[in-house]
Amino acid sequence: MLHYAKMQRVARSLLFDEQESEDVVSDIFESLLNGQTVLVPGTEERYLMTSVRNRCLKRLRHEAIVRDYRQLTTDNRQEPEDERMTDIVEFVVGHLSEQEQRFFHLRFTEGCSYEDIASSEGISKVAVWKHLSHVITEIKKHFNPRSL
Amino acid sequence: MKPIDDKRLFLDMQEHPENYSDEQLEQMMAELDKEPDTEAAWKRFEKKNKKSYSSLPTLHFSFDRIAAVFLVAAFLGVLSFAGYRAFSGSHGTSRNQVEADTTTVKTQRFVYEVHDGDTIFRFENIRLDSILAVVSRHYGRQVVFRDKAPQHLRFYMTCHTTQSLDEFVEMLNMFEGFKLSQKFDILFVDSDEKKEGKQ
Repeated sequence: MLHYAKMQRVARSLLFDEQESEDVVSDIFESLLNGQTVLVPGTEERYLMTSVRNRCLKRLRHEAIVRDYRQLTTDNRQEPEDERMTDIVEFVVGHLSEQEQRFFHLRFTEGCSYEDIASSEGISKVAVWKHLSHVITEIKKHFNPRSL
Repeated sequence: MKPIDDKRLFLDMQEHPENYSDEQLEQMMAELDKEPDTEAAWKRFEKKNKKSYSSLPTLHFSFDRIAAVFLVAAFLGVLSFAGYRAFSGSHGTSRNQVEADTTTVKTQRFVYEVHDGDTIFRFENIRLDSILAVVSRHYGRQVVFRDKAPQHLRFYMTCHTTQSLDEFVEMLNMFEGFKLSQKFDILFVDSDEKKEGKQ
């Protein structure tokens, strides 16, 4: 499981829930096992990392963050299984600073640790946390204001 | 390692980091960056899925091989993902040749082949947004059309996955009507006016 740790890291940073994070990662492997997805050698890591990020973002977008408070609605509209999350990506590109976009990419697509990002950017880990917090808060504010 | 057990604290630290000391934030980051118990998680996954997958004749993979193998299986996922609903012929998609290392899938105007790891996409009179949906998925990128006009342009082209993404982008930029560029994991599409002016 070459990429599992990174995937789990991304999921935990977005969902902060061990079980939910594990579920997200498992779902991705399940879809591969089900043959729902074609992957060609050389593209695995990128696919896995993007998938885990997008599935977590999807949860942030559509669901209340605190699972305990989640309420069932009567809206049974099924979202297509679109892992690309173009709207969130467009939002990130259109509304966040260049630096925040870079942090977003490093943390949630590359799966870098806070330490790695801080070193590569030449800033403190706390500063990285604050930037990423702002990114996530902005995404939630835009796509799921009720979760705030 | 203590499990993550206070989601509310995490959310509050995320929304109001100014209310916490550097030490508290660093503690949270250390918690988030800790190495997960991969073995245990994988065993749980295996246990959970064993039953349902053992009944599928074409999927006798041991779970630890999956990351390396990434089976070439049904292509329907890609087709539906790429928005090929417009293709009336797509219902006739052939999946008979699905094997571990060779796959050929044909629609009326679209062919996808995999031979020993080399994938070939052949597009015939296909919209740019559909082409990019397929190719970007292969390269693990996302596509953002900053201008909508190029979405409807149609092309005939053949792409090999032995091509790097840079080569693919370069090839596409030889066409007129749009400009393709990369940033992080995103492929941006702009209309041709920006091709000259902005960059």
